[in-house]
Amino acid sequence: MSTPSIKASIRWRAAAAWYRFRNPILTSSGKRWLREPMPESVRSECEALADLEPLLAELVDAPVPTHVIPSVSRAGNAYFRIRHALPSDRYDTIAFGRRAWFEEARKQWDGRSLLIRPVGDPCRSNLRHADTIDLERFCSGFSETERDIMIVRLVIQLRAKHLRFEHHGDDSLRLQAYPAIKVLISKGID
Amino acid sequence: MRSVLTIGVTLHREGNLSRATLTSLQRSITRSNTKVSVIMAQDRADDATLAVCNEFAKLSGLPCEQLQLDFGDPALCRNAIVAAATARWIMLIDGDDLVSENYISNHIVDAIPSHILRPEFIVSFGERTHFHSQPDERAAWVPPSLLVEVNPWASPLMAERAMLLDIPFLPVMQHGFGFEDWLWNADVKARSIRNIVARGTTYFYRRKPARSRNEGAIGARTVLPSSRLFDP
Repeated sequence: MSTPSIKASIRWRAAAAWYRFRNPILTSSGKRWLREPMPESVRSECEALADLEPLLAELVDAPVPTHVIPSVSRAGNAYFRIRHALPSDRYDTIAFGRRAWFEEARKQWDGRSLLIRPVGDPCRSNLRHADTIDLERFCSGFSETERDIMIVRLVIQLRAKHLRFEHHGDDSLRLQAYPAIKVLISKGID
Repeated sequence: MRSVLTIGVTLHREGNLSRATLTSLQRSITRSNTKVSVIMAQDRADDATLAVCNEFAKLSGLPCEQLQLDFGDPALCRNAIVAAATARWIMLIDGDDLVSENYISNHIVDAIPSHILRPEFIVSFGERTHFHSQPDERAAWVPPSLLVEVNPWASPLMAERAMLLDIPFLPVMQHGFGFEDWLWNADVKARSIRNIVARGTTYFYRRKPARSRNEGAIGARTVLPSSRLFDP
């Protein structure tokens, strides 16, 4: 029998897959990847510089992928839209403003665990699987408030990598691949 | 007569790749018909890179200054360019990338005081290939929260020297963090300074499989440090 977290994960994945099916040019991070011809001016510039850099010659006739940064997509603000489209995404409200973002994140963080949905573009995140972060270094020189913000920001990045966040009691945080939706923050870091 | 624009090129261990960079730059300078000066900031540069710089300084016919630096940090390298520059406007480019022929002329035409100018198109080539247009904040709203997850503007820019002195690049790499240009973009956004594009310009961004600082930072799993933009 499936555990509640596995069921929730399956539900989330199904919802995300349905959303992507309905919105094929949007990825889960809100980026749009298209294959379209480069503007003529760019293409001719590649041609003009091909003598200097042969790699550019290869781009002249090839379909080159492009991405549109979500906030300027012609369809509107995809960055927010996609977050709202995800069902019961508890992190929706953090994107509305700096104070609201911080307060909401604090409210949701009970010092022990925080529900985070694994959305985002994995290749954009700076964090990799099975990594260790030195908390002392990560937070050094920052006030308590700043440290909290940084931890919240770290969690946001973790969310993009489907990672679990564990405290090992030695001022390091071990990140592990975790396919479910829960990110754990130990009380030890507070 | 003092130059209108100082172009700062950050160099490290690009070797012969910097020859293509400097040649494309010279092509763009010639087209712009503007009085510019060039600063080649050589941060722990290898012999091959120094040889290309010396050759460019001798043959280009442009006023060139070579800065020998020992930082190992692109942020400090850019700050050194700003400190050494004399022109009102400063353009920063990396020593292994290329620029379009209209790059300098269009940047000068579209320059607005107290704004940051960006190339309109970025073409990544090499290890990875794609192109995209950069956001122009005159036409599109870029929410501050976007910078939590995405760096909307690549590192090449043109801005007034006074602004770059006021908002220096922070040497985050030395503290185990990364992406000094991303942090700078966040700091600038926190001050409500707008990024605009120089229409029709293209920056060719070389993606190397190894040895590049950007790839190194990604490989080292760096994270962005705290910025005023994310203050509660």
